[in-house]
Amino acid sequence: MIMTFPIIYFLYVYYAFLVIWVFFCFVVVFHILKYGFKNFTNFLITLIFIIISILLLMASFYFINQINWETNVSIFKEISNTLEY
Amino acid sequence: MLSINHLPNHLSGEKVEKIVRRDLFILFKRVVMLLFLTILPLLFFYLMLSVYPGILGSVLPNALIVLGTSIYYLFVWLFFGFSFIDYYLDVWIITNRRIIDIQQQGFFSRIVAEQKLFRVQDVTSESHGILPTFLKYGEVYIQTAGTKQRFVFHEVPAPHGIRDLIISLVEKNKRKMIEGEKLAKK
Repeated sequence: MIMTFPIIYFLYVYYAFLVIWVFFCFVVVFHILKYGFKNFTNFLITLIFIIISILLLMASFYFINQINWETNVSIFKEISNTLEY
Repeated sequence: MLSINHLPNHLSGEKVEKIVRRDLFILFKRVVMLLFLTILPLLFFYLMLSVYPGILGSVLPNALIVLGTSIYYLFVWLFFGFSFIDYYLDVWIITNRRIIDIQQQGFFSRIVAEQKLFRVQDVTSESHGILPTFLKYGEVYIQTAGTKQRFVFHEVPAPHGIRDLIISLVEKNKRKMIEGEKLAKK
């Protein structure tokens, strides 16, 4: 049995995880800003957290954009091809 | 946002003596964990490529690896953020009038308790184990007559110094109170 589907479905699942991730990132920033001390360290920590988060997203999308998401794959055929290597 | 100049329920003539967080070594351990989790997939890929050298040439495994790795690193960073908040937002503020205990317990759960220094009955500092002894961090227990019977400063740097500071502030506070009572009687 061969099942064919576009791999973009995996990207949709990824986007669902991304929504959760972005929500919790906002929660982290909210907590630091609301409950941290009003000083430069607090500002710096928030900035570092946001910058590294953005860098991770940029790196992720750099690799994601290199994949042709319109490709259709036949899942059982693909697995057997992979294991043949 | 907390401000040293605007503490919750600020008392007149109140001055912040010390702000205490857990020892930096506790944060260091979490950073080491972050580094370990960052390196882990690299070792995994190295092993996987030595077993299946052509895996990245295939579209589906390549896409899954890219998405999986991205999710892994994003969530490792997020969990480090959680862990950092747990460290950073647990604060003990010692002023010349009271002790404020602020505990962040996960998200959306925060406990703020305070005790007036004149209620403090006993202060104990402890440092158990090899690392706490060498790195000079430990616990400080503050026994009070208040509702929350015992304040505990967890894994704080120089616990014995903090105990001495609290004891001296308590004595000063009690002396002031006695002097005030004497003046009131006159």
